[in-house]
Amino acid sequence: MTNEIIISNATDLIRVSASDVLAIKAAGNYCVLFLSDGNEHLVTYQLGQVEQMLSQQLGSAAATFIRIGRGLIINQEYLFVINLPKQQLIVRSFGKVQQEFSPPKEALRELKQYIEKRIKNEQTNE
Amino acid sequence: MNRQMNKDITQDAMSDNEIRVLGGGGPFEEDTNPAHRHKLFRNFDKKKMVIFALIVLIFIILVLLVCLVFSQRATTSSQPVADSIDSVVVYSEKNVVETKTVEPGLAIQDTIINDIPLQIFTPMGCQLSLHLGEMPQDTNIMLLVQAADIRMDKDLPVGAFVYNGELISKGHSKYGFCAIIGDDITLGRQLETVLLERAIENNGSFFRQYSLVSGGQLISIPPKGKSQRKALCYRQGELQVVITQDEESFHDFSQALVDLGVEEAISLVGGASLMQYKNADGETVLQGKFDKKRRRSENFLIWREVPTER
Repeated sequence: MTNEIIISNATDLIRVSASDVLAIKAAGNYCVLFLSDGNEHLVTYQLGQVEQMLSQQLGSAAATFIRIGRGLIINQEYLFVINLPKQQLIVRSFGKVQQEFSPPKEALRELKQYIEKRIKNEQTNE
Repeated sequence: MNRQMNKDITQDAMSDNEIRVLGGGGPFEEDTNPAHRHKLFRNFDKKKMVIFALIVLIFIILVLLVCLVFSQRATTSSQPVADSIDSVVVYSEKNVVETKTVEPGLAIQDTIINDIPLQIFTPMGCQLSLHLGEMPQDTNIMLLVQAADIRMDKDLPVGAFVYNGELISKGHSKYGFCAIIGDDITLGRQLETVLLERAIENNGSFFRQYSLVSGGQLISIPPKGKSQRKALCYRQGELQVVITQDEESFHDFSQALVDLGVEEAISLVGGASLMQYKNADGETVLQGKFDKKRRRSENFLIWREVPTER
């Protein structure tokens, strides 16, 4: 499996590396790709469709992406801040491009617990 | 390529409170983590269960309300049908004349019951009869009122009507009746009554009207708006005609009759129906709308003076 994502429709095609994707946010029946260089790109697919594309194209590598609620997929490699009281989620690229989101609080809590558990498992396995 | 994917994916059952790590083979792959699934299941169901419970509760309340409304309508709209004698009052005219030996006359009393102005006519020393046809002009008429309603489609009285032993019309759409057979006057409320046959056999008279009061109880009939109301009543051992001064509903009129102490009452033709009586000065008073084109089925209850036995 390659690390590239290809999203195409009748008129255009987008090719991007999975590691260039900070997050994907639902926008009605479409999605917005937030890239690590600060660019944003609208794709004419629903978030669920993009999620399936990622899973099919990336295989096990798709595990770097986490869907949060109905409206957001983030690349957990770029997860920067989770703030529950402020209901704030910030992803940040190595180039210090930052994007802020406000997913539902319960999903944010689930994400925090997942990340903490994952870190704990990794530490146990070492 | 991408357009050919399963359309169902756009309707995945992702909850806003869930998270999902991609790469599990598709959005519909079952989450194998029991703890996670339990939490997901709990969060997913909790909200929907509350909504579902609310919908069920609202539905139950609506059903109960509908049942309540319909049961009340059933109670009030259908006049109870009397299979047997509900209340039959026998009022003997002859007895009155014999026992009272009063001067023929007419007592007229004004009263107010439940804010409803009423006028009570009590004929004394008079003989009651039913008349069919043109209004008579006898000078000895003490009181005259229209009795049975006339059908709009046919020139016939509404319901069973017997005149001097002749059956004029049939039917019992109204349960109240008045039978005049010999010296006996009977008021009552009954679906089938032998008095109809007896009136035919004995050259008597019989007509039907709405029963308003029976056995001292209000009889509910379908509402028919407001109009001047008249009723033939049995009250305190006397036969009376009670009329309203204003336009009233049947229900309010019936309730007023009950509160007046009436034991049995049937309606008479109301509205602008003809009524004639002699006042205290002996003058003939005529009320109502006199229509030149009178129908041959017009019928009247007439109280005529009976000379006193001295």
